[in-house]
Amino acid sequence: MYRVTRLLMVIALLIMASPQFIAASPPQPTGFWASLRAYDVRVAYWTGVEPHYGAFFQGAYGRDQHYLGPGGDDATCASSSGCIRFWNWWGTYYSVLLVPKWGWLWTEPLGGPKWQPSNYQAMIWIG
Amino acid sequence: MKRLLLIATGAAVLLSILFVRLATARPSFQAPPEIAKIALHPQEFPEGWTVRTREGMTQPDDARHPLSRVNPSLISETFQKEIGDFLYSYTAYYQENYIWNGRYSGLAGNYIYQYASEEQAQKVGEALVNAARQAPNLFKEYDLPAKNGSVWGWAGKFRGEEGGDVDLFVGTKGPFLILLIVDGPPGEFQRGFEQLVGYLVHR
Repeated sequence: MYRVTRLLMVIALLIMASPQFIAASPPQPTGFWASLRAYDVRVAYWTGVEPHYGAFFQGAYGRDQHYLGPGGDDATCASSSGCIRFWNWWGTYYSVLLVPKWGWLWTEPLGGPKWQPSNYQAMIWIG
Repeated sequence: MKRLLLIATGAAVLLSILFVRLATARPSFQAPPEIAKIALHPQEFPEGWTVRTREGMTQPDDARHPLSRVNPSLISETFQKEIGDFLYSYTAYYQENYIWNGRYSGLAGNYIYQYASEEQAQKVGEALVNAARQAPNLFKEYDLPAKNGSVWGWAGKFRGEEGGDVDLFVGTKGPFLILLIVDGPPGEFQRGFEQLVGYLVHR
């Protein structure tokens, strides 16, 4: 009887340690989505000798981006990258929204609304 | 008596606010003296330009400066092999100058890399120039004496991916590699670039 009980306990432990059993446990929440504003607008990266600019967010996997400055999202449609919803995300964690030069930053005085980080808003994964 | 107490309390509050502000104030960045001597100074920018400067030390893996590991297209693989493993063994300084000339804005980036020796800096500088000369988007080389005083240098103009101009100056002085990159709409900042190069070649 004692042997059988010990055998059953060993089998039970083996089953609980198997990957299938672990995978079946409910996933633990590790983060959440939040609507955030960028904290910086500056050079993001280079291709050869050319700099590219971006709006930097705290977090990861940016999406649903909006411009909160004068004219809102519609104002961005004159940029060389088209409307803001088409602007690309960059970086290991996609936390940098690439900001175009033509029709956007280049025509804006320094300190103007297009250079203001708080005018860029997006949904960001906080994990 | 009450008035005196009120004044004393007010003064104490003001003094404590002042103390907290002074205690938490961050000192402004100070570049190492040798680098500060080479880097562009605020009074050297053209009259009529508004300039906002951000500066600091940086690392080989930081994407915000051009000679970083994350920008392998600056120097082709062939040249990287020729240079050897010291390409990214430097102490690096960045000076991002965001500029506005009254019509357009752009960037005048001054980057200084300190290598272990003059030979290393020269080797990287020459590799950069060789790579730049082979770039398909190079459309002008500036008439720059190869050596002005103690600075060896080269400058060229490129067409950017978004249709703008990118002016590049590569210089070396002792163990320092000096880069100046001006990015903006076509023709807008060329004079300013030439003026800034005029200062850098006489460091």
